[in-house]
Amino acid sequence: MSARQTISSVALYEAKLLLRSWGFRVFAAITLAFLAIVILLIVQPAYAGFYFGRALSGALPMVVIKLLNVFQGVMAVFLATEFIRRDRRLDTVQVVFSQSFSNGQYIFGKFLGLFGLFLALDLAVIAVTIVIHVFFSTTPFALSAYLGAFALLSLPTLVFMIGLPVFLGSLLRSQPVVYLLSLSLLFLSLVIIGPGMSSTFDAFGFFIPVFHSDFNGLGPIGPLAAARGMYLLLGAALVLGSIPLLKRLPQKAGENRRIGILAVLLAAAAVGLGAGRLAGLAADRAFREEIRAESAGLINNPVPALIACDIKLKHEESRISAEADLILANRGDRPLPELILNLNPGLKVEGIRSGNESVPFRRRRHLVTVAPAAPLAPGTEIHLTIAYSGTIDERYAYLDIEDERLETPLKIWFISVPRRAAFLGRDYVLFTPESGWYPRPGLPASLLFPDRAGQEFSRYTLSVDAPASLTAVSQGLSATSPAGDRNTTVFKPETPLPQIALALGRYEKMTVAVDNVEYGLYLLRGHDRFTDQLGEIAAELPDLIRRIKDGVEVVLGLSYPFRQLALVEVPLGAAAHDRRWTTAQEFVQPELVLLPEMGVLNAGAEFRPGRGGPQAGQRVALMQRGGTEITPADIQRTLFNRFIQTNLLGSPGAVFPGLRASPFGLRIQANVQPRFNLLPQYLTYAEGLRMDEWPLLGYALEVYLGGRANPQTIRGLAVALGQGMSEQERINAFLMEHSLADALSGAAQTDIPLSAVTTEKAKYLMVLIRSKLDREDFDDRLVEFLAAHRFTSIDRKEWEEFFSGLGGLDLDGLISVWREGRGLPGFWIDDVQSYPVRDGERNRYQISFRVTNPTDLEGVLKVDFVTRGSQGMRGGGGAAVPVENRAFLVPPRTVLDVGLVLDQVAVMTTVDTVLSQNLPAVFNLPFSNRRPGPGVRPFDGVTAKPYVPATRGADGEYIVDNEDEGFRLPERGGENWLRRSLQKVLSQGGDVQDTAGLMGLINPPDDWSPLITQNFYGRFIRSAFLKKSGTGQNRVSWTAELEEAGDYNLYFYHEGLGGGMGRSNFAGMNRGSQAPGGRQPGGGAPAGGQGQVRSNAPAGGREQGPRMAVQRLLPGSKTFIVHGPNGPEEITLDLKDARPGWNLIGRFQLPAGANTVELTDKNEERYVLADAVKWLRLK
Amino acid sequence: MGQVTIRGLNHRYKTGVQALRDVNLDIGAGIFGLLGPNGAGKTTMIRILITLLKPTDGRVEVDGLEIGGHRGEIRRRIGYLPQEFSTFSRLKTWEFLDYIARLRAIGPKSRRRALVEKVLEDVGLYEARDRRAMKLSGGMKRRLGIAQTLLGDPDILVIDEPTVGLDPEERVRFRNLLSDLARRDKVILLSTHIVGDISSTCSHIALLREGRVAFDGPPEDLTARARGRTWKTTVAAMDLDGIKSRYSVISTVPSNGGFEVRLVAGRFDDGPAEAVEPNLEDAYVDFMRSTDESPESGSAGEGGW
Repeated sequence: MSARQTISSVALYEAKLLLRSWGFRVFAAITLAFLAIVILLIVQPAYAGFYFGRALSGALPMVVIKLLNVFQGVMAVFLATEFIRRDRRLDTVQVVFSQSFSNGQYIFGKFLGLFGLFLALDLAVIAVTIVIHVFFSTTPFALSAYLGAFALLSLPTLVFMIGLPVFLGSLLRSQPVVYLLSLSLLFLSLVIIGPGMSSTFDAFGFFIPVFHSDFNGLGPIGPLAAARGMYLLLGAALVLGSIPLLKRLPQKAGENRRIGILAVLLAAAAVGLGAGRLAGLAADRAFREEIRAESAGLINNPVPALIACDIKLKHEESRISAEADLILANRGDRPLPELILNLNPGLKVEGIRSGNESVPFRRRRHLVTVAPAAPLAPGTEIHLTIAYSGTIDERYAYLDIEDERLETPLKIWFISVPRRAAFLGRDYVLFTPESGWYPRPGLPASLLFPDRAGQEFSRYTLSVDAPASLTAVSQGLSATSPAGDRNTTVFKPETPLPQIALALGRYEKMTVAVDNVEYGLYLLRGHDRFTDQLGEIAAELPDLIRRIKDGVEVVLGLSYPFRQLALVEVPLGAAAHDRRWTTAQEFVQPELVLLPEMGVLNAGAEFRPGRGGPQAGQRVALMQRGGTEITPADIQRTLFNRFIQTNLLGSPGAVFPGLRASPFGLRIQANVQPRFNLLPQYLTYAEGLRMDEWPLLGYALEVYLGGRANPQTIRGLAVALGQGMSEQERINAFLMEHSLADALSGAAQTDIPLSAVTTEKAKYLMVLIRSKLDREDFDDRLVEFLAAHRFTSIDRKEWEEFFSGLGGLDLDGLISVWREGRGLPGFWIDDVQSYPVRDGERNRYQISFRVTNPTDLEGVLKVDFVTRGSQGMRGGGGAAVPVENRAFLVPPRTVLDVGLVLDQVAVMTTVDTVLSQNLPAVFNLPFSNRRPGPGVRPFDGVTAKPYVPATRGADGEYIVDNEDEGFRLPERGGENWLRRSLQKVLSQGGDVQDTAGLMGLINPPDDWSPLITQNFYGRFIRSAFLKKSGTGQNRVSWTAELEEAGDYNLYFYHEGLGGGMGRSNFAGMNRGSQAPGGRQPGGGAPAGGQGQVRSNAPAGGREQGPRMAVQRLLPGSKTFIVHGPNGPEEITLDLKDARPGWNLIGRFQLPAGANTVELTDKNEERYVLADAVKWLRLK
Repeated sequence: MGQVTIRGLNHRYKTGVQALRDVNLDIGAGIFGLLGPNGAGKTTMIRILITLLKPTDGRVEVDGLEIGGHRGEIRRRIGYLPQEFSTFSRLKTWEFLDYIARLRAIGPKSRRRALVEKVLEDVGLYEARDRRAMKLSGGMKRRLGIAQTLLGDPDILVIDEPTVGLDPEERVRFRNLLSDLARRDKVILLSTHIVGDISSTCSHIALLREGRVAFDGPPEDLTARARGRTWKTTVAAMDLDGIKSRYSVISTVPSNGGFEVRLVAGRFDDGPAEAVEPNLEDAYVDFMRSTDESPESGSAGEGGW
């Protein structure tokens, strides 16, 4: 009998038996049903979070196949071990075993039967997915995406997850033990070790970065094939290895030995692939380290300046050939015997000429060292033509970024996309300067910073020879001339530029010209889902763009410097990282903004109105005052404006209210924070802000002026929600101990992103400079200076002249202290008032407050005002624009009384403590509109007096905050580790945050967890502890050492969240409280009125600040236990009528010494907050 | 035509149990009965013969092929029905036979199907061809077991305890089937501890006891040994227990005045008894009893006493 016949017979009947087992049927049904539901959830448009699934052809296959892999992995374990049970039954198996076939044929037949069955299930799932994909969604379809995912992910996993239990079963002959081992491996792979070591141990292919892009398919699949091939081979080895273990005499002598050897060889090959992968990763890291090491000695070498660079590039499928004509000048004072240039190590230099003369050069890795016939004298130029060709070695990019961060793929839910620094393929090319695709003098910024930080502007031209099917995009307006089946496109930017980029692909180009600037949109052919979505406003786009642009430029004070602004769609895997010397990520190039595929990393790219909102073409009546009708054009206008504001002008990640993000509270977000802000077009790429002497000045200016265009007030919602507090806390903790110099040099080990630290310090520097100069017109003078220095480097002398024109400043000294200083100041702000005031004949508005800096370090405060009448200045629903802002220097150990007089009422006032121990660092000032007494004169200015610390217990007042020593948490209970692990798996792409601001109230944690927002009481850190309500057994306590025995009023601090409609939502700071009826142990009338508190804010004050959507989160009640001389006394207070601030618990007679108050977690509502408690001795 | 030759066969399990001791047998065409009590080594010998077990020592040849070096060929020539036979419970009757037929390289599909239907008819299971195995009675399963041994027309059939669990009608049917098979010139090794299975059909029997061949020869020879030692008598009910304790009683049938007892013994001293012509069962019991009494007798290849 032939082997094929035996194998197919065993396979056929193995499959039949399994197909008839209830285990398989139930599993298969559950799998099909579950995946069908997932697919339907993704494709139907209710959930904004799933936009990526609806937009990307590669997303749905990837999600489905990854989930399928996990299901079938589990199933395979159970079903593959069935044969152990069956084969142990001699009564059945002897009849089969007595037939004439080899053990190998038998085992292979069984494997094939199982494999075939799962293959059929996979194909069924894929068929269902494709049907839904093609007929029930508008997602672009690419069969190759399915085939690629199936071949690379499903097949190897299937072979491995069948082979493993088959082998273990043959070895151990115990079904339960095999279950345990196999499922443990599954768990390890999915939860613990899978994502690490570049997914080498990811048996399920769950984490390995693989993604089909419409731009370039799966990309280079060599390393991927090796990684997955490892599991394929290992699976095959395990299947083979189970043959000698079969309890049946082999048909032929030596059979077991031969098969065993083959199994070992396959296993060795698998291990070799895995080891090769790991070795490859190590080799890549070593390569980068070698480049860094080699470059270290060259950092301070003098380099020529690049005056002009003319590039002629020819695209030849997966390689390029190019010629770069460079004009280099020696702007130093010493001759240059050698000229050092850098070029991607994957590109081979064919030759260098100067005129007609060949010039010798040395090429080593990324360096091209040119030795001209004579040294380049100071003040002279040289022309060089460099011919080069080859491919791009992506390891050369981002040499300043940590290896782990580079190796981390882009993750959106279950999708893991390999991040690439450059693309060079037959159908697509993307070169940004990071890839080093053209020769540049010296070393790239990634190797120079912070030792060198210069930036220069050069004249660039680019000529691209490519197939006619591909469209080239670069800086400058272009002209294309056909030549057969190829085109030559020439780019001639009108202004000098610091760098150029190139994209080449099957783009469709759409442009609109507005006021001498061409606005372009380059989308991959077939990706245009947007022009239909915005069809109603097509004619008015120029007006919309003009209004947005004007709005930005009025605030910024600078005009757009280029003739072109193009949004260019690029592959999803295009990498960009935060840099230390600029706020610009690689997505923003001069004149270009690179938007990853279909805008899936952008907010609102689907251009859909909110849930329940009107659809395109539908006119609806707005159920608001006046019954105004909203038209589809109105909706599209709003969506367009929001998209531009959020993605290109504001901060990323803005909330689009009304859209449901995702079902079941799943967190679906990307693990990157891309930035597409247009500010670099005005600054980074138009101004030579960076300089060797003050390498971070440029960054500081970008941050500062970026804040001008996008002040904190616009981010009011995020600020008010307290999002990002945990990172802020960590940054503060870091800066208390370390200086910026420590951070830049890497001397301080931290996992906080360096950009977060430098952004905070950068903002501080500019506000500090401004406050020291004490010039209200500082911002205006600054932008004037910048506008006068476009497209040129600004040197130290020019900066010094500028600052001396504003009153003089020791910039060197200031920057030095700023770099090297450690520690942070802190501020208390209280006594906040606002009232109308008569100033001569005019009605004006007074704002005053007191700020205390009790620390030994000076600090700065920035105050932004939004005044009535300025709202709505940006069209189409944009956020309000602040009219005024002030900066104050607060010396150490000083109390400042600050007065500000405004022409308009401030609707919102935001204080930014810039760089301080305060958490939150930015908060809104609440006001109370009290009427001033007669004759109150306006006060605009600052008076200072020394700070005298109050002794504890002064005026008989003792406050214990949750940040103080006297506060105690209970022992932490057993955490729900399983829940956390599951959350981690399901929330792919985002970290599980511990403090997500006030949104944590919606899903309060099981244990007391810190929460920081301005609502809470605190000195510098305004925090409280939050916990899910419980039975009352779990308690926190505050203990104060009272100096004297006596009658005390006991207060708790109420944050004022939740509550009914119309209730104020934002607590004041140190506000007075109403006491709605505290209980007194001795009976008598409830205490009312105000306690003896510091602030004198009256009752009935109206709050400022954005209303929050937490009305549903009622505070319920608080149950305190006061430990007095007569024992513990339990008091429950209804918080329905509690006011923000101090609320009375009751009056007690307390002894001197330690006195404790406890708060239990008992509450009929969802959560309990523990903040601060105050004892006030009654006189 | 098949031929099985066994010389000096020994097998010791890893547990230390010596299951076969120096077994020598020649098994030719016809039905060869392998008798012996439970634990005698019959199943061990069979498993060695069908190449599922490797003997510790000795030589076994099937049609001149040594089993150690020609397992594939030997497996092709043997049809085997194990002592405890079941089948894949979720397969239909015909599917199971189809599976075995495929493993026996019976093709093409039409021929295989025809053959499966024929053997189903032969064993009386044609009507139940679409029934799943889990729904077959014990007897039907046994017949199915027979059916699968017939697939491919092997030269040698090895059948271990074929009638265990079968009702009398099924047993008769089975024996008739075996007789038919014997007429086709096949080697049929029938291993059983039920004498009735072989008495009517076997041309040659071997008795295994504690791993050794205690008897090897035609059944008549064994029966002849019990001539003059087989008695029939009538005993009173109250004496029955005493008779049973002193003699090897073959059967007791109630009759007037007590029980009609058939027994084997060298002599009967407890009343009148009639010497009767022994049958194989008588001879088997007598043989086993006498080898019990004299353990040094019963060496391999020779008679019991």
